[in-house]
Amino acid sequence: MRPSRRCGLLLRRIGGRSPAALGLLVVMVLALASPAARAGEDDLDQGKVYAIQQRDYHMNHEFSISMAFLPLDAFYKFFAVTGHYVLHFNDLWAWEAIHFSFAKYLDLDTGLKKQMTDDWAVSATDTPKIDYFLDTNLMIKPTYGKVALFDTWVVHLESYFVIGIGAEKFQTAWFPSANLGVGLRVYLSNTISLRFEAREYVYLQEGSVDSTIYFGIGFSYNAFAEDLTIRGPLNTRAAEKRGKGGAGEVGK
Amino acid sequence: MNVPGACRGKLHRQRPVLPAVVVALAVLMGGWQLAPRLARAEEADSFHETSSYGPIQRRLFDMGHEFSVGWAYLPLDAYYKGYGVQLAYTIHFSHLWALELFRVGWSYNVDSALKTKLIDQMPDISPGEFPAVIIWENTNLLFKLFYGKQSFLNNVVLHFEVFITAGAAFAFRNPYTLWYGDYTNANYDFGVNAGVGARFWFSPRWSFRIDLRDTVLLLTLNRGGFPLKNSAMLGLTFGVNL
Amino acid sequence: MCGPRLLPFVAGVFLVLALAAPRVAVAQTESDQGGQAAPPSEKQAQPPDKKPPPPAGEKTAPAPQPAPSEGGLTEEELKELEGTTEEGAKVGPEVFDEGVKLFYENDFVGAAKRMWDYMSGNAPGAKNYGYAEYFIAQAFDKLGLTHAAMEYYYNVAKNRTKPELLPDALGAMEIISREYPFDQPLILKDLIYDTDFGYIRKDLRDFTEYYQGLLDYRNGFIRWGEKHFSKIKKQTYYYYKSRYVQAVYDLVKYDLDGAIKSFSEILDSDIKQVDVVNSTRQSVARILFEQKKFGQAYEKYEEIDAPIEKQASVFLEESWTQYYLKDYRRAMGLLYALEAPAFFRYFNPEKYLIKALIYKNLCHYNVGKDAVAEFRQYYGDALKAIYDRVDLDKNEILLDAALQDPALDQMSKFARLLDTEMGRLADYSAAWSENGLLSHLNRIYDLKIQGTNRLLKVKMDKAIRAVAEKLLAFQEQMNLLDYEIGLSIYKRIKGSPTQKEARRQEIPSSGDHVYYRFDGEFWNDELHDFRFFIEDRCFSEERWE
Repeated sequence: MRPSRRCGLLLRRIGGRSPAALGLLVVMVLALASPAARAGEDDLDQGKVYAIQQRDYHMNHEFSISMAFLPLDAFYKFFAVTGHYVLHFNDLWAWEAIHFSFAKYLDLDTGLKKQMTDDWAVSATDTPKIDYFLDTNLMIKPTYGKVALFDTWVVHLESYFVIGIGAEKFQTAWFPSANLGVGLRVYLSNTISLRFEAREYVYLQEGSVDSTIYFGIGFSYNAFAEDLTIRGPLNTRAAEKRGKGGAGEVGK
Repeated sequence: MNVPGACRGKLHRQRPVLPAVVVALAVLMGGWQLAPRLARAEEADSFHETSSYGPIQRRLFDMGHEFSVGWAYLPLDAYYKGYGVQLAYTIHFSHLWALELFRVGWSYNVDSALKTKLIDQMPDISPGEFPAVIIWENTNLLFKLFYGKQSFLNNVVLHFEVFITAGAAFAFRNPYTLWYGDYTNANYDFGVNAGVGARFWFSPRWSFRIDLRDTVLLLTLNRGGFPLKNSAMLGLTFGVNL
Repeated sequence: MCGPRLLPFVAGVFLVLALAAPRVAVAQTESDQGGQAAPPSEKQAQPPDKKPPPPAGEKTAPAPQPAPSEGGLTEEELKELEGTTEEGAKVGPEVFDEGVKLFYENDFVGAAKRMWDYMSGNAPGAKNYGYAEYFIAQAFDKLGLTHAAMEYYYNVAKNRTKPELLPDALGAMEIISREYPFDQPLILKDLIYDTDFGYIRKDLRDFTEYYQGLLDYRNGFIRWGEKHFSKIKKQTYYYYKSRYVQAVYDLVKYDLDGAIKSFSEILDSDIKQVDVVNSTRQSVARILFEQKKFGQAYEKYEEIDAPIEKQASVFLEESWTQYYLKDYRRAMGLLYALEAPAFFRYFNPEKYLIKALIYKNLCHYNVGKDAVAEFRQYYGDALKAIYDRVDLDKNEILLDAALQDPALDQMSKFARLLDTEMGRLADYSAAWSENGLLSHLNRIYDLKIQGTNRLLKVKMDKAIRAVAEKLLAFQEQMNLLDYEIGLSIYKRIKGSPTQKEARRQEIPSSGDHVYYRFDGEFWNDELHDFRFFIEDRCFSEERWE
C-alpha cells in the first residue's frame, strides 16, 4: 500500500539557529569581557599609551557583487548572485540601500527527494524554491583593524553588522523578511575590497516563520574614494608605507 | 686554447636573476613562506634595505599547547540537528602551523520535523533508518592565515587570528543515542574534513575559537560501504594555552 | 640640559669614518695583516708532478742533502734526491683548463680546488697564474666566501700580472664592498689609496676616486680630496656619497648652510641607495634641530624609511624634537617605541632623562622620581663597575654600547663575517682538505680574525671609556634632575592655585583616526604613532617652560 499512499507532507524548510546572531553576540561578549585595553568610562586615560593612526581607507559609495550560498535547505542548496549598493555616511554608519540576490535557476538538488522515493516510496511535495531576495539594511561598522598576512604584509580590515527588512521571493509568492548579519571587509586598495558575510533571513510564510542562512563572498568597488582621502602628517607616513606592504595593501 | 680571450666575455660578475616563473610556481605550490623571502631577496638586490622583522616585532598572544572545550552544532542533516560538546588538543609549532592532534565531540541529536513526519506518517519507516553522527574525531593540520587586531569603537582592542584546517575524520553514527544500547545499525565511518576558523584572545592564556568544518564521510569501516555523507559542524570552544 | 646638539655631528663624522677605512695610525700594522694573506707563490714549491702533494697543512720537508756520489747515482738521480727545486715541479695548464671548465659548469667548489692545484704547483710568474687567482677569487665569491675572494682580487689588482683583469677585479671588489663588510685597510688603504690605476672604466674610476678622496679627507688633505671628488661623474652613487662626505666636512666646520645645500642636493636626486638617502635625511633633520626648526626637523625624521632596527636613534631624536615642541604625549610615545625588541640593545640613557623631564614638566613629580630611579636601577651595575674601576668590557651594557660606536660597527660586522665564513669552510672539507686549500683558507681567516680582534680590542677600550664617561655625565644630569624634582614638590605658589580646567582628552568611538591601546605588542607601523595620555597637573602659576 505504500506506493499508493500519497503523503501530503508539508515540508518545512530546514532552518537552524542563527549563526549570524550568534556571531554578533560573541563579538559583543568579547568586547565587553575583554580585560585588555578597556578604556573605562572616563574619557581621559592616565598614563596609557595609544597608537593613534589615520584610517587608511574610507568607504563612500560602495558597489558590490557577491556570490552567495544558502546551505540549509534539506532539498536544495542555493547559490545566488548578489548585488549591493551601500551608502556610507561615515566610518561607523552606512545604509545598504539595495541588497538584491538572484537565486533563480541556481539551485542544486541535494538528492533527498530521490532518496526518499527510492528508500520509502515517498514523494515529497514540491517545495518552493527561492528566486530572489531584496532587502535594505542598516550597517554598523564598529571595528577597524589590521592583520599580518603570513607574517609579512599588513592588511587592513573592518567588521560590520547589518540589520534590515525586505522580502524573499519564492516560486509561489513574496514573503516579508527581516535579516541580521555579520561581515568582514578586507581592503585590497582604496577602491577595491573583499567582503565575507553571513546573514540570517527570517521570513513569514503562510502563518509560520522560517529562516534561511546566507553566506556570501564578494568584491566591492568604492566609488569617489578620493573625496574622503585626507592628507596629513600621519597619513603621509601611512601612504608612504603602503608601497612597502607596511600598511594597507595586500602584496608589495 | 686562448684562455684570456675565451674568458674575457664571461668575466663580468653575473647577478643572480630569479625568473618570475619560479616565484609564481613557488607560490602556486603552496610555498607561502617562500614567496616573501624570494621577494625580499629581489628587494635587497635593488639597494633597498630590508628589515629582519616582520610587521609585528613580538606577538602578545602566542600559542603553544592548547586545550579547548566547547559546543558544537551539526545543522546540515535533513533528519536531525546535533547539539554537542567537544574537546580538542592542538600543538602549535609556529606562527603559521599547528596540529590539532585530536578533536573529539559528542552530539545530542534532535529529530527534525521531516524525520518526525516521516516516522509518524509512514509506518514502514523506522527510526533505525536514520543514522546520525553521535561521536566524531578529527585530526587536522592548521594553517594560520593571518593574525591581527581590531579596535572596537576605539575602546577595546581585540586580537584574533584566522586559520584554515584540513585532515582526517572518524565518525560513529547510530540511529539511537548511546545509552539506548542499540548498535545494530551503527556505522563506523572514516572521512576527511576541511574548514575555517577564527580565534579571539581574552588574554595570553585564554581564547575563544569558532570553527566551521565540513566533513565528508567516505568509507564505512564496519560495512564496507561508501556513504559519501556530508556533515557540517559549527564549533564554539574556549581554549587554554598551556 | 643635554640635547642632541654636538652629539649628532660627532656621530655624523663617525658615520663617515665608518663608511671607509680605519685610522691612519694603525694602517702600518694593518698593511702587515693584509700582507699576511700570503699568495700561493710564497709557499714552498710543490714536489714534482709525479709525487702526490703533501698532506694538508704540512709544509714540505726540506729535501735531505744527497749523499756524496759513490758512483751509484746519476746526475738526474742526484737532482731528484735534492728534493724540491727552487721553482718546484710545474703543474700543467690542463689543470687550469679543467678549473675553468668546472667554473663555467657552475661547479665552483671543484673550480677552486683545481685552481689551487695549479697555483700551488706553479710560481706566480706562470702563464695563467694571474687568471688562476682571478678564477679562484670568483669561485670564492660565488660560494659566499667574500673575504677569501677579496684577498685574491687584491692580489690580481695589486700585482697586475694580468693587467687586463684589473677592471674585473676592481668591479667585483666594488660590488662586495657595497653589500658586505670587508677588509678596509687591505682594500682601501693598501690597494686603492696607494695605487695609481691609470685608465680604467668610468664607473670604476668613480669607485677609486671616491675612496681616495675619502681617505684624503680623513687624513686632512682636503684639497686633494676635493680634487678626487671632482673627478667623479655627477649624479652617480659615488658622486652623492662624495657630496655626503663634503657635507659632513661642512658640518665639522659648522657651515650649516653649506651642509644643508649639499645634503639637499642628495635628497633631490633620484639616487636609489636608501642608506645614503636615509643618512642624509637624518643629518638634515639634525641640522634643522640645531637651528631650532623643530617642526621641520620632525618632518624630516618622519621621511626616514630605514629598516626599523636601524631607527633607534631616529626615535630618540624625534622624541627630543617633540619635547621641544612641547608635545609631551608624542615625545613620551616615541620613548615607549624604544622599548620594542628591535631596540633592546640600544644604549639609551637619554630615554630616562626625557621621561623625567616630561613628568616634571607635567608636574607628575613622583613618577618623575621613579624615572630617575629606573635609570639608576638599569645602569646601576655599569656605574658601579665604572666607579670600582673594574674591567669595563666585562659589563654587558657598556660592551653593547661600545659596539654601537660607528667606528667599531664596521669592524665588528667584519669580525662577525669572518667568523661566519670561517665556520662555513668546514662544508668544503671533503673537496679541499686533500690539496691543502682548506688549511690555507683557515690560516687566512684565522690570521685576519686575530688581527681584527686585536684592532677591535684597541678601539673597544677607547669606545668603552667614552661610553663610561657619557654614562657618568648622564648620571650627573639625572642626579641634578632628581634634586630639581625634589625642589619642585615643595615649591610655593603665590596665592591660591587657579582652579584647573578639566581638559580631558576624548577618544571618539569612530572617525578618521583609529585608536589602538598599547598592550605590549609592537607593530612596526605604529611605532611612530604612539601617544602617551597623561594629565597635565600643573597649576598655571607653576607652569614650567
